[in-house]
Amino acid sequence: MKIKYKLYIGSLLLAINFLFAGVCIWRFPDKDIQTLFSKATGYKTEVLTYSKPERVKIESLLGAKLDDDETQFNFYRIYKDTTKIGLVLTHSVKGQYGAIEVVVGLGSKFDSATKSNKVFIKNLLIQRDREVKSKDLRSSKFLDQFIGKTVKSKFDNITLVSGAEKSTQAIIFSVRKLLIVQKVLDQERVKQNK
Amino acid sequence: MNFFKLAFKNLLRRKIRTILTIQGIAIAIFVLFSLLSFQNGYKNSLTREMNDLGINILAVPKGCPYEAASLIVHGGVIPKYLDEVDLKQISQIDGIELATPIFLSQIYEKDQERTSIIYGIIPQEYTKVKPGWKLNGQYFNIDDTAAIIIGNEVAYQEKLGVGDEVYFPSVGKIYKVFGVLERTGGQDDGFYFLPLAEAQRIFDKIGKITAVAIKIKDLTKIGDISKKLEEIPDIQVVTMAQVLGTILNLVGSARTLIFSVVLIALIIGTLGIVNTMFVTIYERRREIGIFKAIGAGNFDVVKLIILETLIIAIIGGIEGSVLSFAGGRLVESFVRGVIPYAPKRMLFTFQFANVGIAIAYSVIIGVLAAIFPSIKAASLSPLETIRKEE
Repeated sequence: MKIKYKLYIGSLLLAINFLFAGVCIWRFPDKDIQTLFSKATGYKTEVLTYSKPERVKIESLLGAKLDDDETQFNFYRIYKDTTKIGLVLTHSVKGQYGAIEVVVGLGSKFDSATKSNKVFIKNLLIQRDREVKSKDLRSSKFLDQFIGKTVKSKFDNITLVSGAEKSTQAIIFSVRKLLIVQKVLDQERVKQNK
Repeated sequence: MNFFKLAFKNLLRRKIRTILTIQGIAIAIFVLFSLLSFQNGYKNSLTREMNDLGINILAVPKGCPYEAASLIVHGGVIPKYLDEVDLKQISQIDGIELATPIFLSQIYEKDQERTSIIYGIIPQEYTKVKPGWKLNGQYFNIDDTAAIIIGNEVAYQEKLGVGDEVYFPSVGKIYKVFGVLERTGGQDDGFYFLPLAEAQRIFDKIGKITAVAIKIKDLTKIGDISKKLEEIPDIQVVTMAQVLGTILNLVGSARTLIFSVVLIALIIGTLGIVNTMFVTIYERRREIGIFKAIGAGNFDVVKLIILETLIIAIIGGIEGSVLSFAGGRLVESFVRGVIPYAPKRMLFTFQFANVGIAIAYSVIIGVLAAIFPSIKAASLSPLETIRKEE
């Protein structure tokens, strides 16, 4: 009885804490969902947190530490009626002149070689930035280079935006981070559950 | 005989009913406790925010002075301006320690739905009315044209630090971050501070001022100085004490209404216990009869019923207090959206005295709710109850 009570209070306090943890919110879902998944009829938000080993794995794959306020990630599951058709992840990263907020639309297809679903970038958007070269960074010429990339892809073939190299690298880092987070918190958990 | 044990056992025999009754009390106490915490927290927070403002009087353009003062504290746009000539006249009034101009405007970028609130200040003067400010980095000079100071929340959201650069697309200019304010807990956390002349220039309002922040030498002379200030044409005066009073009055009206709702919730909670106890006594009349037949007196029965009721009420009271403590931030986020003006500091402050009040209320509820059921139980005749059950 006592343990149950402690668990109840603990989970209540934890839930309150999560509500106020620092996350990059998806600012324009109605508008973005049409660009990212034109067939979508709705989405559901799932808040995922990581365990200590998962954090270690994310940081080791990323080659960098997670930010102090990155205690959770919002997974926006995209649906067409009742069928899951994709995933949207958001992230805020330091650019040249302020934060750049990235919105990544992920799709998946069956990979016959590995006999598993391969998650890839379907589309990418910048929802907020303060960049001088904002227009170039938001251009399809730049963003389309990310389409089709997976967690295993190399990003060194991305052509940097001239005059906004630091911001371009920041966006690449942000996209890589989201792909790794998706792999560790989503794909690998599903595999383990199986 | 251990009455406590007996009372607990009796309550545990009807777990669901007991739990539901406790929840009724808990909700009522939760609302009461939250309201008490809000009452203290809001007033303290608001007073501290006004004190931190360091401004005794705000001179604003003619119009609604309270709206203007609120907009300045919040960071809104006032469509009217004072001239720098007005500032000179204000500075000449006796008893004024400092009169510093403020220019306030905002940049709204529609495509990104982003609002940046810009405060144009003379830092060497403005810091005197903001004695609580602590800055990482350095203040800019009045004639700097590409320097900026940012609030702590801005730095966090925009991932900016001292030495970084920030770009305002609609202005088309890059500013170097000279300083980041340490968290003030107030509205300043969300502002961008530019040198006054630069702020006026980017909004094409050279020589225009949104308000004059005034600090006076002797607070007892605030009335006389206000009168002298009002003699200047185009100026309206608002003292920060008036702003504080107006806001507290507004919130006070809402509080009275909420207290009425709490009172109703408490009455409903009490009636819930009375009802539960009556039903319980009805179901246990044979048991009470046997209890009396084996030697228990009327007082023992009364004591048992009062104890059972008190246990329900006190557990409900404690649960309500814990809920209020744990869920305070959730309630706070809701309240912020409803009240006319919410200071940035915590609106709900936890005080042990409030726990005492909440528990005391629970005990009162418990005793009140127990009176009639316990009398009813004590008046049962052992012979009749046993015979009826047969």
